[in-house]
Amino acid sequence: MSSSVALLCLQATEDGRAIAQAIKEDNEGVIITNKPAMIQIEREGRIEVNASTVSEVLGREWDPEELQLVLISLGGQVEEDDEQFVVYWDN
Amino acid sequence: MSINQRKKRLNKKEQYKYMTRLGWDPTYQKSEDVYPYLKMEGIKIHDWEAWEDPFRMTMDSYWKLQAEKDKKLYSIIDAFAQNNAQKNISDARYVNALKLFLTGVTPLEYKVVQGFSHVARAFRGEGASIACQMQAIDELRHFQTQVHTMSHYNKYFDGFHDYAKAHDRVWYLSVPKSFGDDASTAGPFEFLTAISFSFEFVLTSLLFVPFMSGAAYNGDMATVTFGFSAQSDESRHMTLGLSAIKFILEQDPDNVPIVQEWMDKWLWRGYRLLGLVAMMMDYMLPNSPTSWAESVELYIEQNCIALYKDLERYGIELPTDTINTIIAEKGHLSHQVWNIFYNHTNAAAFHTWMPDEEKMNWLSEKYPDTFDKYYRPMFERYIELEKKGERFYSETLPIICQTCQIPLGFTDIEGGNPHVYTHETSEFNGEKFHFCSKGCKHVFEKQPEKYTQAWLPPHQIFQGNCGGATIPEVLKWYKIENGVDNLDYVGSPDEAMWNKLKNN
Ligand SMILES: [Fe+2]
Ligand SMILES: [Fe+2]
Ligand SMILES: [Zn+2]
Repeated sequence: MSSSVALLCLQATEDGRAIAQAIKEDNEGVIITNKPAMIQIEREGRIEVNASTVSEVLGREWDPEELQLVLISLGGQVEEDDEQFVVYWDN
Repeated sequence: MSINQRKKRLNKKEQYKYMTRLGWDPTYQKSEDVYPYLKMEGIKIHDWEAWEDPFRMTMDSYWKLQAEKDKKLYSIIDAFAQNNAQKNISDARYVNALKLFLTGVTPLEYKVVQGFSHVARAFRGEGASIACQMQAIDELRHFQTQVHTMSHYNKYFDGFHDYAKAHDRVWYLSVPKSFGDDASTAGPFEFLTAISFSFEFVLTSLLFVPFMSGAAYNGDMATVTFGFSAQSDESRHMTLGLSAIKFILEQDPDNVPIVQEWMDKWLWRGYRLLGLVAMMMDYMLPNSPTSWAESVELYIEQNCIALYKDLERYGIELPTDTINTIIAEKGHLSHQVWNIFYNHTNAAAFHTWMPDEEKMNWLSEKYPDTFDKYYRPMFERYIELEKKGERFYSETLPIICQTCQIPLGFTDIEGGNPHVYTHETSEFNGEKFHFCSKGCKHVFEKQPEKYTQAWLPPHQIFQGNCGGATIPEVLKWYKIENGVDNLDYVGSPDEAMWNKLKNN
């Protein structure tokens, strides 16, 4: 059981909003807050960004590497591969 | 269509392996001679290959992504200039936050370029070395994009003209300067801990995220774009910093106490530096979306503590004293720092002002336990004096902290006396040294030989090294034009320019 909160801040752009939408679909209980020019995403323990879901929402191929184009900040450790970007705490 | 069938591409892991393991072992020179700084700090690394970039960044994907980021950024900067968008900001007071940013933060980015270039050369492992090289290039990009973005404001407002000289000379800029000097004169492992871990992971979010979101809130889309573009690199740097720290801790148990001491030191030094940001967020943004206290809650009380918890398994302990001080001070810091600057604006490269009634109410709401009790009455007194034409400027030089170089303007908050000024002292080689806080005293006492060499502006002024001993002489040496770049916003050429812009 984790008590620490994983965090992602994304730019409020078209891609950023699509990624937030995909995160909402794949991460139960996630809290998404709109701030000036940015989207703040928090969830206890971990947040998963799945390339397949983002691709579906965007209507084009999307590579987890592209997250760096809209990522402002994060809280947590990171695991990235070809399918997924995960930010998580190990406690 | 077999003719068009593409060869299967390497996956990320394979690609990373082939594109980053490009080093070799020295044969005709001793390894210690090629890597002379690896042992000086006592850190033991047994297997450099064990460190792997969590993003598996290779140069080809790096250039592709960064080029994309820059293209976006410059198209927005162009649009900003073409539309004279400086007219759309909330108020010209806002521009003073950018002056402080350009003189205080931007040169720090450049210091970090130098630091990471050195670390890249000093490290033995190719993965780590390549990641450090990319980070050095990132930081150079940050430096350049910040200067480019703000050059637009230089066409209309004062104070942007000689940021490099200002950083080297102006008294309050010795705060960021000494931070950068301290880090870049440390060994490679301490530098990495200071910047990658403590600064990038724990503190850059506090600097860039709420402030940049604040820039958007005040209509400055050019700044928000460079800020977020830089911060997207920072989020990669944060991850690299954390994985590098875990790597160092895993390599040898003897590394743990050394790293712990650095983490404690740099958390404190970074936090003190961000006192400038606290004031920028709460006072210098005409519209503030987030208060300093709220940011501390998110980035220190939530994120930073989670981060330390993840490192507990390596034997790292939460620096409870430091965290408690940060939490205790969160309702006071921005007000105290703004007070210091209000009193010394006659020798600053930007303007200050007293908050109007609307801002005071916002501050009361965000700081219900502290603002009305300790700071509103003081600020109302200043406003009364201004009305009588007796606006107060300090004509004396402050005593500054030997470690962080901030004037001794903090009060005894943890001791329960927020209205009483406090400071610490220490003796070394028969000489007495002054500190703003227990944290700074502690940092000094660990390495007194280093900090006794600090270049302290008031001492230098009195020794005749800064153009003279009077304020006009020192201002001239600073390249600050008296009555133009400094003093109150009200009555300044900036205000006149703003009124002209708004009425055209
Ligand atoms: Fe940077
Ligand atoms: Fe960075
Ligand atoms: Zn200090």
